[in-house]
Amino acid sequence: MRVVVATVILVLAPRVALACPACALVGVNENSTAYVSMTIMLMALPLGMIIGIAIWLYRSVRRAEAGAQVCERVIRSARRQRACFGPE
Amino acid sequence: MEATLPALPALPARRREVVPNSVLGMLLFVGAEVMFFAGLISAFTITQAGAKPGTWRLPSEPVLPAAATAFNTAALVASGLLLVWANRQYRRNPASAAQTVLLAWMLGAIFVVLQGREWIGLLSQGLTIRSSTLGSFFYVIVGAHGLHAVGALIGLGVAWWRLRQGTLSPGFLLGAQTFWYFVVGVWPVIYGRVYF
Repeated sequence: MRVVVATVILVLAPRVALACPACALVGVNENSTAYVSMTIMLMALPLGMIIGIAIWLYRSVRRAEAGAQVCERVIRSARRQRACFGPE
Repeated sequence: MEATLPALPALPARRREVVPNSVLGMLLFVGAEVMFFAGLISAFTITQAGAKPGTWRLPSEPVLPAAATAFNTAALVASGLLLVWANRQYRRNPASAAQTVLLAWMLGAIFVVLQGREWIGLLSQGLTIRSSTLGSFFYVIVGAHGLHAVGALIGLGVAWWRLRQGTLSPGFLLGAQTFWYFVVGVWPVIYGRVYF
């Protein structure tokens, strides 16, 4: 008898105690749209942020490198002039 | 003829700071916060879609005071735009940006104060964190944003104070600005999703 009661409880309990209370709403038409749209949003958001930051960093590095090259050219040109005119 | 040339600087070092550490750190923090708010809004949307008809409303009013909050939203967005302008001023002449930063701070403070006033009104109407699911979501989402706004205002206030003293580093200002842009940027999403 105990085995039968335990088996019935084990079989019925999972239906009562859902692991995710909100999941009971899955399948309702309005809810399906909400689930799908929010899943897409939560998947796309971190990817979008990572890609956005990567592009921004790449552009910043390229801008800084271009600026550094201009500086180096100016300094080299000044060095050449100095070599021609001699030291102070 | 003897030419007199100024001493030349050494060639720049190969390793240089492209993005200030404060901005990079703030971006990582903001990324985590964006996901925090995305989770809250996602839970709100799914719960709202599954709510029984007639249950997703205030005790006395049918909807949240969206029209009154539109003014707060305008003040917050204006504050963000002013900070963009202040950043441009700071690049040209740091001292000239102080007034604009202060104005942006004041608009942000107006937003927080008006939000507080709205909360008092809603509490008096019977909407509490325990009164309904809508009340719980409203106070958690809008309250979390309000806390972020207060934190960002403190950062912006420190930036303004240091700017006046002449001790503000560009990295600190950029970090405070990044956080404020997040607070300004996430609000229209919350406003559009929660209030309508």
